[in-house]
Amino acid sequence: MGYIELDVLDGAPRRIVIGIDLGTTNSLAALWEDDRPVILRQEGTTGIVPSVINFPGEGTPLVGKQARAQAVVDPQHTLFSVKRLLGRGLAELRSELQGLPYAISENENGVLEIEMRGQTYTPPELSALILRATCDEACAAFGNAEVASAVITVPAYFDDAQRQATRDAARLAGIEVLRIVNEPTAASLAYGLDQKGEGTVAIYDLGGGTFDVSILSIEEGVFRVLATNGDTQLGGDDFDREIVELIREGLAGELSAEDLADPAFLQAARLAAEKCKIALSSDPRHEVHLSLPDLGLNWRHRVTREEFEERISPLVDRTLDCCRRAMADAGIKPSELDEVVLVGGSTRVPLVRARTEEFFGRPPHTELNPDEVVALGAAAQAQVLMGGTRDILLMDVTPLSLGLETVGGAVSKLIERNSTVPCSVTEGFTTYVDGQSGIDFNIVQGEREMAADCRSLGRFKLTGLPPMPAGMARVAVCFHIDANGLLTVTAKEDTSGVRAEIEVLPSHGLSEEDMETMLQAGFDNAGEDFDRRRVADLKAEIGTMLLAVKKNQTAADEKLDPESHKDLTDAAARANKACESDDLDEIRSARDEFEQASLPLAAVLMDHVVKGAIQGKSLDEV
Amino acid sequence: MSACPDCGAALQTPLVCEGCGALQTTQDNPSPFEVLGLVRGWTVDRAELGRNLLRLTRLTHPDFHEAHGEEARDLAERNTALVNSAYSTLNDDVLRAEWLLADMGAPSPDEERQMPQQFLMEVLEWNEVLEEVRVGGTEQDDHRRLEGLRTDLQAQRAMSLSQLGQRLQAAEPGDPQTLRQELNTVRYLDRTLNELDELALEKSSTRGD
Repeated sequence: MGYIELDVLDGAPRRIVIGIDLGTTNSLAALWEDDRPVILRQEGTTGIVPSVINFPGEGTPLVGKQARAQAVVDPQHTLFSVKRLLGRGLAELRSELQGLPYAISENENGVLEIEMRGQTYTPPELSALILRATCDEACAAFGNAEVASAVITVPAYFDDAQRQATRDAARLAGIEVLRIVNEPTAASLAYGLDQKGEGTVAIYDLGGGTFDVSILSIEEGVFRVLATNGDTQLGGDDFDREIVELIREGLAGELSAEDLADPAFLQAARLAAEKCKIALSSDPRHEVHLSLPDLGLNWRHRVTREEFEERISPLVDRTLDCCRRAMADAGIKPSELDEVVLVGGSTRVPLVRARTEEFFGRPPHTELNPDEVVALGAAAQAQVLMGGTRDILLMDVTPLSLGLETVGGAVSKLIERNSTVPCSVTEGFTTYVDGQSGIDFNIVQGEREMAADCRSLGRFKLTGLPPMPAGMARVAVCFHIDANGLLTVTAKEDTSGVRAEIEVLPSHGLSEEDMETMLQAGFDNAGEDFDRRRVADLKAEIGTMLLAVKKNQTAADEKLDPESHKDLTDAAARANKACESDDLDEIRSARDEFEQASLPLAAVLMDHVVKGAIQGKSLDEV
Repeated sequence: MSACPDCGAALQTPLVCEGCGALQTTQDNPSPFEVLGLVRGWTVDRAELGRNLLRLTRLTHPDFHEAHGEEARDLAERNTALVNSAYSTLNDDVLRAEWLLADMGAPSPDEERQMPQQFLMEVLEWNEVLEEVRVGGTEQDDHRRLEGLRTDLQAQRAMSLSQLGQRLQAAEPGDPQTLRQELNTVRYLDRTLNELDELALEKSSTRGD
């Protein structure tokens, strides 16, 4: 039983279930086929959709390669690395946002809003565009297909808000999420299936914007995560940023401070930096060339691998700190590992390979394509969820401890980090004041002692408690982290039998109301898109009809009665005029009129054809 | 032992029938020993515990019930959460001891905060060493002190745990309050060992190791 059984109607698109690696830099989809996961790619392409969006002056946003191509030409309207904004607030991203060529603000719910051409977009809406484009690419690669549902991967160290935001993005893209799976876990799955590797494995996953390390035990098809650690704001982007800094420093004498902050300059510098980074993985030095005629700039500068490595060394150190913590939590020494697998494009950087080899005391496994393993693993997990195989079992963990703020601002931990999911904890609470009808909670995620230093996932208020003396209420609050790593909270008041209501206000998430509005806007836009297509179709039809009339002008002039001739000429002129507008109704009525007025001519021509046929002429000769 | 309502096989765990794979609905919270099909007591066979965890998870995990409708999925979530929580309780010496103490009605750590008298002198000594390292000496000195302290604490922890374990495994475990105080010792040692790890990590990263 798998996706194949869904394909029952001939000619109807096949409903496929795919795995999607929604990356900071690139996104990619894979599908389970013939007992193994394969990347969905069209002939001669990589299948990779760059996670880039461009908002052109008119029409729908461009996503992927097309958008990427606009980066230098239209830097102000080209968005990169949207994933780093998912589920985050403005204050947390302050340093990251410096130098971005567009305006970002925060709405009253703490959700970021990016302004593009007079419209605002939240990170989930932007990610939805990338997800949609990735699905479209996958469907095009497959042939006649539509995505029924998908497994979507996220960094293991994503917190609840970031996971929720990813799920919201999928919903806005109209994709049913089968499961949210952690990227290193998905990678381990692809590794285990491909290499038939067993034992204790470390997955070091350094992507474009995020870093994860997971320690797993793989045994008889059971992939069990022992511990995970990471940094959701550390990746190849930061390597690029170091080179951008180098470029800016090099140009400090030549360009004004204003020019150095110019969006076009920054975008060009960013792209040059990325190119330089990639080149330095194979060459000991690279010449950065920046040509910006508008700024009168034609600049060449040599960057050596040594220089680059010195710059990024502290960042690599940070990844190794995470590794140390993960190993400690797993209770594993480097010598006890059977394999270290490198995942993510940024692990191509030689310094990363050297330092991981040094840290783990063994050469890392680099045989798998670091850009593809996550999507492949996600497709394998999709196959499990569809009931296609029971040979694989993923046992994942929650990356961060979950707790509640107590009186005085400390954190009372309910679920420890690296607890296997799904997991549930039920805590009892009571009232402090006579007749108290509600209790306030602040749910926090993180490892720090004080709530203010952790991430607040949301506040909720337990309401509807019946009047009781202080301390009499017995409220059981259940925190459940599901197999997606997502938290749900439920509560019950025991003595009165009254079910207390819970309303969680997410700190940096879309409310249900926001979602409804956006989904509705999506439908409205879908209507608009449909109209636009209809207008284009009608214009094309009118064009064909005008051509046909022109072609048969002689026949019309000779054979039509004057009234019909005038009707046809007038209708053709009106239809021609209507094509200048984009008004659907106007074009539609003009087309209908034109069609009506051309009937006499059609009759004349038909008559001619019939006569011709009788005279032994072929249709072509008429 | 109850039987599976679907196939009649005897249930080894209240969560799922290992005969036909039917997920079971439990009313009360079953004990972690019941959940994992083990005999209640301090001594736990780790290999058996691990085997039972995997065997049960292969039946209960939501991944295998995704296609079976919302109700089955919710039950799978719930039952797997119970398996996971039971496993983490039994696999951890301190949590297992805590569960056994609570089950025999011993005071909670909040109700009884004391540690045995004879232990306090050693605590003072250890705190002194920790303070020295915090202030910081040469790299070798700090390292030597930290490792020495770690060895001492681990030895003491092993001894305290083994004593507590023997009592808990005995037919007559004795006074619950004494047991609580002994378990407090182990918890104190764990906290201090954690602090030690943090300190070592801090030392190595400030030195740019």
